[in-house]
Amino acid sequence: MTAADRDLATVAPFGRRRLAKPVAWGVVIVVVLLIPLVVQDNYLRLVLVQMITYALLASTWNVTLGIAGIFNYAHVALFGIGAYTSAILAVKLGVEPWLTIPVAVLAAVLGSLVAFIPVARLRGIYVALATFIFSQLCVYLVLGQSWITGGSSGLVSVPNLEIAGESLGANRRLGYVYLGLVALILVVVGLTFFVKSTFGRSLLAIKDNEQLARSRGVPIYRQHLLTFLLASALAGFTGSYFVFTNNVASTNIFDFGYATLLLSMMFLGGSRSILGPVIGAVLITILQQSLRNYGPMSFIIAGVIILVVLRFFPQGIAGGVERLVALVRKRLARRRGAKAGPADLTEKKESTDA
Amino acid sequence: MIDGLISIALSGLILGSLYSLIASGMSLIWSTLGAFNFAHGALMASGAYFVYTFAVEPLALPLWIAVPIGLVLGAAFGLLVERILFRPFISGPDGAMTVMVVTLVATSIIQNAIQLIWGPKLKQLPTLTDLRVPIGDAVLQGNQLVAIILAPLLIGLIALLLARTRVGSIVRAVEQNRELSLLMGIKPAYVYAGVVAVAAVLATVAGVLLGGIQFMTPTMGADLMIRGFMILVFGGAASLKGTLIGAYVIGLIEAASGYFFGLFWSPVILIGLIFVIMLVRPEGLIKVGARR
Repeated sequence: MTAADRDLATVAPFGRRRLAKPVAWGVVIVVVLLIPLVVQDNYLRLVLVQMITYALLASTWNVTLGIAGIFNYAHVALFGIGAYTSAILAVKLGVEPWLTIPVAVLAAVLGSLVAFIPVARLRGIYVALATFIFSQLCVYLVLGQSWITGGSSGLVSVPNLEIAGESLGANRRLGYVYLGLVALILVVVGLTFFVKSTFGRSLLAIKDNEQLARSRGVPIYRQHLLTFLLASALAGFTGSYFVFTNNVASTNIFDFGYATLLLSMMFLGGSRSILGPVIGAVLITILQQSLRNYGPMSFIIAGVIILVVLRFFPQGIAGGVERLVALVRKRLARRRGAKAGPADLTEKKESTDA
Repeated sequence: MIDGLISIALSGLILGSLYSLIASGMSLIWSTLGAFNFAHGALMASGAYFVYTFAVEPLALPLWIAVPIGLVLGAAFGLLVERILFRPFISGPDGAMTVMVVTLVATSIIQNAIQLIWGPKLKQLPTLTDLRVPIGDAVLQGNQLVAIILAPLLIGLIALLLARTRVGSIVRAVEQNRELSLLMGIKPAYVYAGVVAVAAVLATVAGVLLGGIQFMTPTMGADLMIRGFMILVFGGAASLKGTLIGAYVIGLIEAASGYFFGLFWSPVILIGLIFVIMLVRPEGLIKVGARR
């Protein structure tokens, strides 16, 4: 939001509506922060931490994939780099766990610079190919350098993060739950402002019409590089969070299956919105948990559900809800006999998207 | 040293042949449908398991019956994949991206279905031939031999069909200009289905060959598919010729780097090389006229 926008907000006649949004946000945040107090069960807390990790990873991946429209497949690999950096430092070198987090973020950013090399030269879906290959490079490096990474058996007994001698894993992981929730709230709120900023709008311009954006003087490579670096830094942090909450780093996270799971979350929830991936992460974690006794069948059921949703709601659940809201608004506006200006606009946008 | 070179050349040839079967199917799909098939490895695995069902357990038919049945089933499965995974998604917004996600999800479904239907026990297919050909110290045998001969023949045949026949010109027409081909009375939907079916047959062939060389697992196609993507980057994704050359070059590089630097370093070297190539020539190393 620019200063001019803010001035507008204060003088605009819609003061009450302008206030409604922040209040709603505040209520949501408070409710979210109360969740861990309701969920007391040890196992459910574990699921909650997992859910938060997925939500963090999916919504930060969406920065490149959904918001900027870069076909980036390397996000999970960068998350893995963060995880392994923290694990190696904490286990092999005995570094204080908190100090490994900034190093992990830095490592992921450096890794993303390597991954970005092909992104700068390639276009469209080719980028997916190149970044996909980059993730494979990470797997092979981790497997090959087993003297430091533990190879295919991974690194175990990663120490816990501690505050004043108290492990964040104590009290049934209460510390980890709050660390994750605060991070997630910061990410979601931060991204909301990010999308509305000049920078975020320039990304949208590039995504919608690259030629036009270029002709208007938007430095495409710079914007994409900065976005990539931002997303990677967040991936690195999430990797750290993951490794300390699980106390294990293993090559499983580089698997096809892991990336597929996260991509499903983003697309099921809706990769065009900021909350979409979070919704997807919550739903798919719940789905996974409720199917966990069915062995291979659980993956088949989950997969089929994802395919069906994507088939009928190509914009994901968030997109479906948006369409519904737009429809209801339009109906209401018509009933009131008012000019259906804004509703019409959203409707038009939807139809060109579909 | 000479023996080393011979064994590098041979294993490079074997790898290249298997890779070319996978990569050419992926290249065909990319050039006509404009999306990457991330379920190609799963197509390959399912093809191998189809043949296993008829050749080993529960049926023990001779291979000359089992393999054709497997190929037909593989093609039918390809048609199904096109109908369910490609057609509904490809024309939507971010079609290529959605197809990537959808085919990845399908891979998970197919792999787990294989696990469920055929069980987790290690399985192997009988080899297509017992022939052994000693070359220097090395021996080429069984499916390795078949792969080296069959792969270039099959892909050559497809290239010939594409270049010379009416069906081939229809496929190329859709590939080059979908709208214009519609005006000429061509139905792209048939072409898309046919292309995916042919790619699935090629994948099945690769699966049958690999299933006789090593153990079959539900994830047996994953590594080959990754190589397939590397080859597409290397050879320029849209050309069959580039893909074929790329497959053998990658196979040779992998064999050589594996021989000199060990198994762990060879993929790292390979990927490093591909990154350099992407940097220098993003359109692929082998240029055969930009088709897309």
